[in-house]
Amino acid sequence: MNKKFSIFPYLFIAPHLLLFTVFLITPTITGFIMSFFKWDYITKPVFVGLKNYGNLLDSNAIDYLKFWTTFGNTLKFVVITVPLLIIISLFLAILLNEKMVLRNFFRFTFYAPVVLSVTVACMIWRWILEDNVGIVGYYLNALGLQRIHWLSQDPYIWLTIVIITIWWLLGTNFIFFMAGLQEVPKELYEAAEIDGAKAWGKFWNVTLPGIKRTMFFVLVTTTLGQFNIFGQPYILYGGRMPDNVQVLLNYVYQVAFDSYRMGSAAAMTVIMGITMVVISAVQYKLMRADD
Amino acid sequence: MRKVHGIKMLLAIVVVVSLLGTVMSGCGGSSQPKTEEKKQAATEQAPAAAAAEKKAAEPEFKNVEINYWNVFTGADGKGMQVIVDAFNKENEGKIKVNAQIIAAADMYNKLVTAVASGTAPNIGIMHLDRILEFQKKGILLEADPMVNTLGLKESEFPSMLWNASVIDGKRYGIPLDTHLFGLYYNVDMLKEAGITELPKTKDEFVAACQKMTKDTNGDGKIDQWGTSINPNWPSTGIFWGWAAQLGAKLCLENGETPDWDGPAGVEAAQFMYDLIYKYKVSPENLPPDGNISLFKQKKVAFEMNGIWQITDYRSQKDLNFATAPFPQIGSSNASWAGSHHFVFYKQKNADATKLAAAVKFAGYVSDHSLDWAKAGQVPARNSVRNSEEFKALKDVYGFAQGLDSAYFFPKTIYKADIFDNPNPPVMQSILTNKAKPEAALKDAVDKAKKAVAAKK
Repeated sequence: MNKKFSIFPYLFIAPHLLLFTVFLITPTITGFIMSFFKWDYITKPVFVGLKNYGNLLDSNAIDYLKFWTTFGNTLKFVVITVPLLIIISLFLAILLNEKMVLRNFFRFTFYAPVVLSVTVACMIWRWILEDNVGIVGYYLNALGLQRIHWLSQDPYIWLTIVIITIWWLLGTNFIFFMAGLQEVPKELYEAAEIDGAKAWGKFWNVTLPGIKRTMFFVLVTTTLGQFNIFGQPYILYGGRMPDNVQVLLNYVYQVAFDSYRMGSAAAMTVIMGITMVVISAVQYKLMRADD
Repeated sequence: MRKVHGIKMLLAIVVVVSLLGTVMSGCGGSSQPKTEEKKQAATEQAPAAAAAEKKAAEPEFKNVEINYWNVFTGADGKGMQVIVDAFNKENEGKIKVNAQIIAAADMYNKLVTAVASGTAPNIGIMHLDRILEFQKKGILLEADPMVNTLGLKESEFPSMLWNASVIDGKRYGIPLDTHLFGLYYNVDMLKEAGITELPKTKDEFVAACQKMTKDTNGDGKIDQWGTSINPNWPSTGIFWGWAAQLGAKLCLENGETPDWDGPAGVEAAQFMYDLIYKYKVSPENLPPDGNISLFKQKKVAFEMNGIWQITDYRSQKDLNFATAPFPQIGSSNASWAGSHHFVFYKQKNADATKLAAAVKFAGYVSDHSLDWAKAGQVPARNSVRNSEEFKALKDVYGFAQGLDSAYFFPKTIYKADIFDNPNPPVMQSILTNKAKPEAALKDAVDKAKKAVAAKK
């Protein structure tokens, strides 16, 4: 085929490409380069080679102690929230795909929290769950149950963060699944019914294969999105969170903007980024295996 | 079919890269809270009524605009704005101060780049415990000439405050105020328990707390507490004060070795633990700010917190509270404190007129710091603190009586590494009964030392 060069397609993507380059590609590359330097934000950066990475493996370095525990906390969070965010939103999407009373009201209700910022979402829940004046504590007490220390006692601290996250972010996946469900041909359900499939059978054999592409997209974006957890612990504890809920980006922020060790902070995010690429690649392979 | 796959693959890559970008772009993602609040000082366009009298040595100011950065995001921001507005009105046509309120953490991150790029403010507020750090970074002007211009003398300030910003014999700041920890107490509860004098020792403190800890409605549960020790903030502030009372320096002279894991620190932390779990005069496992809501609900008698909390408690209409210096449990009555100083930033293009205007403004605020006291700060100027008007501000005055024992962090450029970062989590784990004080403090100090070492 004879392809002639045309400027027009490039013009069309130019606005996005520009923003993408300025705000994503450039910082990513700069961050990568920065990870090989010692830089305190002010004086001239000093090249230190792989030292910032080496510190992550040196058991005498602060970064070793903090990086692995905080990264562990992030992973724990990803492992808990990603399946919940997918299963619950898919369940709700299927439920609200049926004709029912107040369907649009419920659709709105489940989606609405997404528009809130993390600050607002956390502040709302912080007051709902507050031990002394919160409404949850009040009703637990009225029912004769023990008040729960949602924000200061294990394992409730994690539970609180997970609840807030799910309530807050459910809507995004919910919308994607709603759209995906529309694409599944009605005839397939009818055919399945004729073959004698019950609800579960229809879900397993028609719905799931039908929304496979949506599922892949949701899985990858949710996983990557949850790796970015930062705001929930930060807001709930005003920046002074307990060790067991300090996630990697909280520590990176501390290293970069409290201790001014930009190089070490960059190195940690590079490792985090590579981990995310690897996980996404694995997810891609698994989902495509039987395509 | 292959082509479709190619597109899908491409799409997937774009999604991955773009999401990744948000992470790698240096933690500047949208998930970061932006508490930053900017305000422009809007001068009223009132007719130039009262032209201020001119001092002899003062240069001629004509439409000089200066920028002023401060960190007063709380109720104190309004108090400062009142003073700025008054200054602008008095100097209409001559000097206009543009005040910008920026959350402290953001401001400190911006300063260095602002100075480097020539957009630094002419004058700013800096916390005393950050001055050494920024002086070392070379962005501050020496303030000795400014102090001379204003004719300020040591005799007008508490000496520890006056000397606090002197580094290698040179001054870098002009003290504006002190914000220190103190005691808020519920007057009614003390009266009901028959306590006429505030406790002066550890034992008296415990006894008073025990007297006021009780079950008021007879349901078998304690619902009124002597005090409240929150595992979260402000536990660290209380800890620093009590550890200092018991003999800890918090950080040694070298400015890089924390000593709050020594016997004094352990004793202070143990006492805080005991108040919750041994004497049972404080609720367990309070959530962030739980101490504040309990005190406002009139369920706690002694609340130890910083003076900045004053406006919040004042706004609780039916709360009958008074203030006093921080409770003493050790050999001194030290209370952890901070201080706001005026500093002057290096400019790319130095402008003597602007600098003179900034100096005049600093002098004005210092002279008018009674207005500042109303917003809940203890003014640095002795003349203001000794005035009858100030003494009439009973709640602020209660704190001011503890001023002589205000304990500032020792000079260090590693404040975040030795205090701000390691202290809160270790207090959380001790006070939620997850770790024993001695081992936990030792571990935290070990980490703090490693964090200092990582910067070298």
